[in-house]
Parts: sequence; structure tokens; C-alpha cells
Amino acid sequence: MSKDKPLRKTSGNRLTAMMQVRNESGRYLEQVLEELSGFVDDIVIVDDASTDDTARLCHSFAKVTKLVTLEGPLFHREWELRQTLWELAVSTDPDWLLSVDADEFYEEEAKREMRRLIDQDAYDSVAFRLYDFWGGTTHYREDEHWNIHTKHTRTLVRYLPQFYYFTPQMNHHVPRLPLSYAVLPAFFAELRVKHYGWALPPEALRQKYERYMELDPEGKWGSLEQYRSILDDNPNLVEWQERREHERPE
Amino acid sequence: MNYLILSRVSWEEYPYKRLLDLLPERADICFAGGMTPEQQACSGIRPVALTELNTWDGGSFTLLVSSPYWLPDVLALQPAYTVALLEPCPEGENEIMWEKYSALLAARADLVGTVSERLYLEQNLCRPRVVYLSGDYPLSCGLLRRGERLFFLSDYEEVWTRALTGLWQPACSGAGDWLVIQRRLRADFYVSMCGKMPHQPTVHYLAATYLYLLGDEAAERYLAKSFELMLLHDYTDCLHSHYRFFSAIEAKKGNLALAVAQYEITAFTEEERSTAVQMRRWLDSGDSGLLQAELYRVNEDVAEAIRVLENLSCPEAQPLLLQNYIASFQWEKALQLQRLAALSSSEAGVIPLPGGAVLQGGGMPPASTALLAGTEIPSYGGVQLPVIEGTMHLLHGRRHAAIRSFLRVAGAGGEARTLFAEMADLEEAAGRLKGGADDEQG
Repeated sequence: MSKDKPLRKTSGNRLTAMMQVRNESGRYLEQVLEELSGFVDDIVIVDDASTDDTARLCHSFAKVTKLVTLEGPLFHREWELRQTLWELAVSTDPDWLLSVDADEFYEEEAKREMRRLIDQDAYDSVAFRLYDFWGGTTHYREDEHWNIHTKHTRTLVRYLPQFYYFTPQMNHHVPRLPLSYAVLPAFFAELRVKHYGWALPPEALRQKYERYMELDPEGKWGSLEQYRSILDDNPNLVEWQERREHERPE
Repeated sequence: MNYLILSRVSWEEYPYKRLLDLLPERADICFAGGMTPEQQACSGIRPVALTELNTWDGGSFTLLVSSPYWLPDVLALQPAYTVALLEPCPEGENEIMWEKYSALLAARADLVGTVSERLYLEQNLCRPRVVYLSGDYPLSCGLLRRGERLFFLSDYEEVWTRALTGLWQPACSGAGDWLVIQRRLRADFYVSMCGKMPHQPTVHYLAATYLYLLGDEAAERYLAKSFELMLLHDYTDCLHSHYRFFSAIEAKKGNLALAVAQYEITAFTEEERSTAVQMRRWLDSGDSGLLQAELYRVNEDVAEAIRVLENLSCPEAQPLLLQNYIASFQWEKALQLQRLAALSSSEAGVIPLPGGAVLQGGGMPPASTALLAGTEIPSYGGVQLPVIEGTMHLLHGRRHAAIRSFLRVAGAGGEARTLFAEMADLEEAAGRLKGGADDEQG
């Protein structure tokens, strides 16, 4: 830490979004980058050897200050991919890092609150409620296997240069941020993130199911039951309600 | 050497009989309490009536004390040496009081021994001369002949005899080396356990702790592994116990800038943050001794903090030393330091305090850290000076002076009732202890 830079700043924090992408052309990446450009200072991206024009798309956004395209995909070695992204992100000397997937959208209220969330010195991470949208962008899924929104997911963290960062060396389902943040004080925000990774037509859901089964046929990294539930004919869907301006969460 | 045993329990239940067999240079060995003629013949130890203790000349005796409630007698007897045999709080005792007076006994002792590894580690962080009276080393480490009997000594028994000999023959016994060897044996044991239990955070933490005490840089590796395992087990309440510990390891290695940065990450309360600010000032001004001592203190390694501070001559070291004496229950030393400072207070000067404040007027202030809110009662790290004074008066048998000190707390709006209750509890506990011993005699 430099002498004139306090460890935890209450103003003037620089927010860097970090994301890994692969063959995102024609999906949500452009929209996500547009939204992020509205409330973060920098975007750093690791492109996991895309074969489409994902890299060109990323480059077209001014706030994408670092983009690394891997020669070969690291999808099967997720830990390495996460580590590469982490190292790229911290090389920008950020104050805060927002870990975003190429299909995640912060609700308006969350975007408005973002500066207040980081310009403080009481906690070092913020967790949000993530909602898995299903079959389209109007409903999210809520049942035994799909209920991530009932818990909080840490996506926003303060970067502390001398901290001991530990990410488990797993091939799949690696946490998006180092586990070490779990020991630091966190703020659990009642703010929501829309995840469109499952907002797909039935055929695309089937393809996704098949890809999961191919990668993890024995359910070593995840639950086979959850994988199978991807093919449910009538999943329980709940309509998403946008919050109006006055409906501020606590 | 003569020995006087002040036990918590009757001779029949006394748990350290084998250690008594191994005492070096055994001459007159006495047990305060009753013993049957058979017990005396068997052990070669004679009983002493409690009434005799009032006129006992303790100057030629080493006391072996296994209850903190003998502490007033220990102070009155003025023995040649005191060995505190610390035990976890027994069932039925008031735990807070037991811990407090055990800590005061340990602080008064020349040597501390314990069969509890928790207490052994805690004491190692408070003072240098501590023996673990248990062990896992499978080989015999020595041989001792007592008349017709031959004793094969385990590692800790050898350390015990060496450490005792070291009390009166400090130059030739190499007792200090044996205490280091014992730490090394514990470290080796836990390092080997890490190989057998690679997913167990606690054994890695214990390995790191012993390696740290030895000044072995491998401590960092084991701590890192322990921290990772804690995270994988979702044991997340380890910011201070685990992550902050890195800063003590770095301080010992002399990497003070890194140590301060690591401490800062763990500093959230107002007090911790002001400590971090002061640390950074010392880092910038090159006051490495003060900084190192403070890093040890915030990691509860008071022994190491005191070792550093006692070798510093700068005035800023005195308030910190006082704070560490109080934290490790070396209250007599604290009061002595306080008195010396008061004597020299006419020599003007300015003393910087932890947190960045300064005190004008020379010498050490009546209280280095804070005045109790709304009162003029000096307070050190949450302990009020009159409480320290009163407790020491009480232990020295100066009951009225103790009451006067406690009333100073009450008079200033503090709560003396708990102090008087503790006073009564201590007297009752000491009475119970002696009553038990009397019953044995009867």
C-alpha cells in the first residue's frame, strides 16, 4: 500500500468490473457491457479462446481497458481461468472489483446504490440476491434446485493488496471470487441481479444440460439432480417485478 | 534443595507424584496438609500443618503450587523459588476467578508447568519459562537413579528436571535450551500430524504456532495451509486468529511493512484503527522496536513484546511496557514501573501514547492509555489502576489497603460491589482449600 493511499477509502473509490467470456456473440454480452459502462470505471475481460467476434465486441467499449484472449480454452480448468482473470483485474490497481458474468444484469436500484456501497470503510464485500431467469427474461425459477436468490452471493469486493487470497483449485464450480473474502466483514444487500444464463428456449436448455452431463457425468462438481432438473417440463416460475423508484430496499 | 508442596487436593489425589520423584537435588520435601505414616514412608515426604506455615521460613524452599488460591501464602512465605503448576478450572470453581488468580500465580512464579497444552501455549505467549508436563515423544530421554529405583525419563520429565535445576544453577544447566527443545518436539509432532491429517486446520495451526515460537519461518507455510482449510470448511471466524497471525510471523522475520499492512486489514474497531495509524507512524519514523513490540502485542504475544520493550531505552517504550505487564498479569512489575515513573515525573518530557496522543509533564503519566469515562480513575487496557493496587494489597494480606483501593473505584462512580464480592470469594476459596487440607490432617 502506498503511503498516501489509505487501505479503505470512503470516497473516490475506483470500481473495476471483471468478467470471463467465451463465444458470447449474439447473446447478452453487448447489453451487459453497455450497462456496466454506465456505472463502473474499468472493465477487464479474459476471453477464453472465443472463436467468434467476442473480442472485437469487447474492444468496442471504451471502458474495457484490459482484454486478454487465451490461445486455448481453460473451460475445463476453471480454477486457472478464474486465477488468470483475478490477476488481470488486480493488475489495474483497483479499489473495488465487481465480478460479473456475461449474462448478469444489476437492477436499476443496485446500479444507483453502487457508489454508496463502495465509498465506505466498514465492510469489504457486498453480496446481492441473484435470480435465475428461466426460459425468457420475464420469469425466474424458484424450486428445490433453483433458489439461489434465497441466499446472498458475494460479487463486489474491496481489493486489499496484502491480503491472502485463496481460490480452491477445482476444475468446475470454482467460486467467482477468492474464498478469503468470507472472513472479512460483508454487507448483505437487498439488491437484485438478474441472471439470464438460463433464459433460454427449451432446445438451448437441453444443449446446456448435455454439456453439463458431458463435463461432470458423475456429479463430482455439482448435483446430478439439479442437472436433471434443467429438463423439467413445468418448472415453477415466478414473474419478475421491477421495483419502482419509491420501493427502495432496506 | 528443599521443596514445599502447596496442593489443590489431598496427598492421595495429588497428580504430580512421579514428578516429585524426579525433583533434582532433593533434600527436605514437605506437603502442606495431612499424610498417613504409610504415605510418608512411601514417598519420603513429610507433612506440614497449615498453622506451621505462618512461621515457616520459606527462604530456603522451592514452592510447588497447584492452586491459585495459595497465592497469598506464596507471597507471605517469600520462597527461594516458586513453581506454578497450572491446571484448567476444576468443576465447581468460579472460572473467571480461577483464571485470573492462576494468571497472577504464573506471573509471580519463576517457572510454570502444566499438563494442559492450551495453558502451555497461552503461557508461552506470556512468559519465557514454561514447561509442558506431557508429551508425545515415544523415546526415553534420560535415566535417573533414586536409591534402588531407576527412572526412564520421558522428554517432558527431562525438561522438568533441567528447568528446575536451572532455577538455582542458571549458568550450567542449559535449561533455556531444553525449553526450546520441548517446543521443537511439539512442532515436530504437529508437523508429522499434518502429514497424517492433511485436511485438519487445527493441527496445521498448532504446527504454525510452535514454529512461530521457535522463530522458524516455516510457520507461515503451515498457517497459510490452516487458513485455507478453515475457508474450505467454512469456518470463517478466523480473521484475528489466523489472518492476523501472519503479521506476527512477518514481524518476527523483520518484514515490518508487510506486517503492518496485514494488521491493517484486520483493524476495524476504533481502537484497532488508531493502533494501525500509530504503527504506520512508527514504520515511517523507523521506530522498529516499538513497532515490532506492538505487532506482537496485538497478536497476544506479550512475552515477545515485553522482551523487545525491556531492551528499549526510549520513553515511548514505558507506557507500552506497562500495558504488556498488565496484560500478562505481571502487576507487581507494573506498579513498580508506575512508581518509578511517578518519581521521575519532575523531569519534564513528553510521552507519545498509543493512538497518537501525547502526555506532557515528564515521566510516565498516571495512566498511559485512558481515563475511565467521566472519572479521574486511570485505566490501562480496560483494567483500572486501583483494582490492580487493591488486588495486590489483598494478596499481600493488606486487607484495609485493598478496601481503600477498591473504594476509590466506587467513589469515582465505578462499581466496587463486584470487587468486594470477588474479595469475599477469594477468601472463601482460600478458606475452602485450607479447610480441605485441615480435614486431611484431622
